[in-house]
Amino acid sequence: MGPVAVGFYLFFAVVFAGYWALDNVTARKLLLLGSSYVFYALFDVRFLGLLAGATVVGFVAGRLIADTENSRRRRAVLVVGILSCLTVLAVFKYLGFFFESAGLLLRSLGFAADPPTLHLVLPIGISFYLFKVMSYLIDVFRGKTEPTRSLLDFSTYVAFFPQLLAGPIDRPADLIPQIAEKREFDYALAVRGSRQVLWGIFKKVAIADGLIWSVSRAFGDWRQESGTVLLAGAVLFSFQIYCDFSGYTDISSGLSKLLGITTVRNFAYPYFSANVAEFWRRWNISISSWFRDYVYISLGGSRFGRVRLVVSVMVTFILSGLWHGANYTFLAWGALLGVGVSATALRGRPVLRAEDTPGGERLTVAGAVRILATFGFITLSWVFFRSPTIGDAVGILQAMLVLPGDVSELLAPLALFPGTRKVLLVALVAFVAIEWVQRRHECPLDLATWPRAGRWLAYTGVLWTTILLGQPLLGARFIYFDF
Amino acid sequence: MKAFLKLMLVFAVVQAGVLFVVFLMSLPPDNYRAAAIDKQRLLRETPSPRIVLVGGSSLAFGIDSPTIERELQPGCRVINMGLHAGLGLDFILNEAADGVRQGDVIVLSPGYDVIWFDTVQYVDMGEVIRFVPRAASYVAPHDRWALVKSMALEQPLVTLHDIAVTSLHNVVPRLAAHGVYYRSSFNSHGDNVAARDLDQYFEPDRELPPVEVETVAYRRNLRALKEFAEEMRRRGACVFFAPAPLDEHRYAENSDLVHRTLEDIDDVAGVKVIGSAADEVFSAESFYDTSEHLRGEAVFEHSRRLAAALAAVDATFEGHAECRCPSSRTVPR
Repeated sequence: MGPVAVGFYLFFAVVFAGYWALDNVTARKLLLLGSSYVFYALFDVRFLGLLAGATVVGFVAGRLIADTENSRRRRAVLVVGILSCLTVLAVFKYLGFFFESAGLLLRSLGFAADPPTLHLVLPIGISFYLFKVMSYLIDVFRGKTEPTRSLLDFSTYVAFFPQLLAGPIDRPADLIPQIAEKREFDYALAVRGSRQVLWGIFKKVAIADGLIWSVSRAFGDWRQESGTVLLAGAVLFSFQIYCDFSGYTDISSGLSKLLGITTVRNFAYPYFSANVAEFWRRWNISISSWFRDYVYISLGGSRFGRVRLVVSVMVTFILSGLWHGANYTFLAWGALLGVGVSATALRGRPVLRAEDTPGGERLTVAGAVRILATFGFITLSWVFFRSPTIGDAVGILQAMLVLPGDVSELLAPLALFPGTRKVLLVALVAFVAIEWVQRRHECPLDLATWPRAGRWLAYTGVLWTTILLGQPLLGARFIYFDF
Repeated sequence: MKAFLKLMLVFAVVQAGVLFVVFLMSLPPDNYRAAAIDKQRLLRETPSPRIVLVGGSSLAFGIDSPTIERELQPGCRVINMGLHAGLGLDFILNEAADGVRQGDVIVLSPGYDVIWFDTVQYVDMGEVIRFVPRAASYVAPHDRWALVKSMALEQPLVTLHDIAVTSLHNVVPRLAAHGVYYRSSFNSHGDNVAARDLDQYFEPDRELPPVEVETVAYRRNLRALKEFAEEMRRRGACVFFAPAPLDEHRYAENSDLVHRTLEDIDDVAGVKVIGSAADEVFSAESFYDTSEHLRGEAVFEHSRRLAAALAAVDATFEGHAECRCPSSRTVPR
């Protein structure tokens, strides 16, 4: 019952009605917490205990850190808390990968090694809620957030259902106070939230799910495909993953707004970035800032010279790559991006922030070239992300380098949009144009300056394009549910 | 809050208006499963003597009914009820049973998956019921609750999408060109003819592992076949089973299972198997987009073999003189 299912919106409607009908803030929190656990249980009831356990460990550790004067003891509790989270993550996500890699290494050294093959089910959302817990512990230790005395508040923060399955990872200092205090219904916030939900559903259902077929067609038997088709497939995958993940977080943020809660902005038009460093300020902002604040800065960041900077960047991005999955392809993807970010950092050029207008207020030719070059680099890096093995990724990239032999090869990618799918191609081009034109706004459907009739025409157009292009019941999970 | 709820309500009303216009633009429905309207009408109205072919989409794509009619006794009409394996065997059989008459020759020829597994897709079943409400009576008791849930939670989205797509195709017919999954893809016998002259769309997967049958579903399906056959015989109809086409790779991987299945259909379900599974194996190029949807000359070849298998059957072996099984034109009755 993901956030594009009818059942989910019936569920949300009940929560929404109950939340605003209740006047008592404790009752509201209990409703949010209960509905979050019910929501999680509908996906996988087996791991409810894990969610609850991580919550209790995080809360108790946070209290101990806050209530202890002794700095060594505080640090020890922090380390135990962090290690607990990482151990759980390591067991479910990386143990199989570790055994497989150890076996490969031992065999390459001539030892007979037959390590156990593990097929552990990855609990959905584990990477996200454990990171929330770790974020809380570190921020309490650093004094960046007030430790909460309310297990109810903390539990709701960890399990907040719009974010439970795939983030974004809100910082405790931003989210816990909003949960703790009684929210008043905000009409403007609710309208913005509704628009964001609509845009998120459009991105996920119409664009991301619509592109699944085309991308699968391009990469399904990649050895048989021409370089132009593979290149087109990579570009389409760039939009598939962007619309899939940003669509989910738009829905999550929009629904949170409907509950009166403002969450972190997670995507700020990343494909309009002028360099890789800027891309990482605009893509999956909650995760990239998590790694920046808790890994990159802890390793020294830019404070100790260029060598330390490069090492910090590379370690951060390799870990970030591995966070996405236990496979060498994710490691390679992370490393590639680390190289890109390092290159930008070493050049010393200013990098736009997420809240800055991408491309600047006036786009120049040089600026357009930088944006296209960055998009090209990111697209090529996604080949590693999508490929099952490094060998496949390298093979695909090599095939892309083969120049087309004739005009028909240049037109070959059109086969990825047969029949009605041509409408999807038009919608994709329109989508990019809309995002560019509206890049100054958090959501492209923020059309405050338009007359009402124009706004409603736009909303109706987006809704019916979604219905037309959406493939109901395709069964496509959100890509980031698997991380 | 009231202002917000009012805004949402007004927006919903506006969209309902748009839906009404789009719905009008989508008529008549050209949804693939709307072909059930025509097939059930065929079953009700086609005069005897008749051969009723019962199965899923492999039957829809794989048969050319005029070819069978030409090979058999003049005046023997063929009705192809094949539509979609996702309706499940129980539904498919119940649908056929609803229109069968004394003297009908029923040829069961579903894809093997329909026998080996529970292939029901409730949203597809719900779609057929949307077009033919009477079809709700074909739903097996054990499927009813799941169907109700599907119709409540899934069907609205599917219907909206279908209406939007059909209305677009009505406005821009070129977008529907080369599509094979439409009501208009079927001929007057119920054969899906749209893929026959098209290039192969997808080659069947050569690397599928051997099939592992769902034992519970398999036994239930055999029971369903047996009960269907017994009921049809009571009504004075003849029932046979004809092997469905298979691509060479799938057959090579699962030939023992295929032959065992046909033996069970004959011995356990008591339905006589006509023709041979090995004769219905075709090269991968003969299929349009799955390992069951024939295209091109293979359709006519498969149809001729089915006609020959029917012609070879002794019309009176089941003891029903009323069951006018067809025979080849060269063999006088």
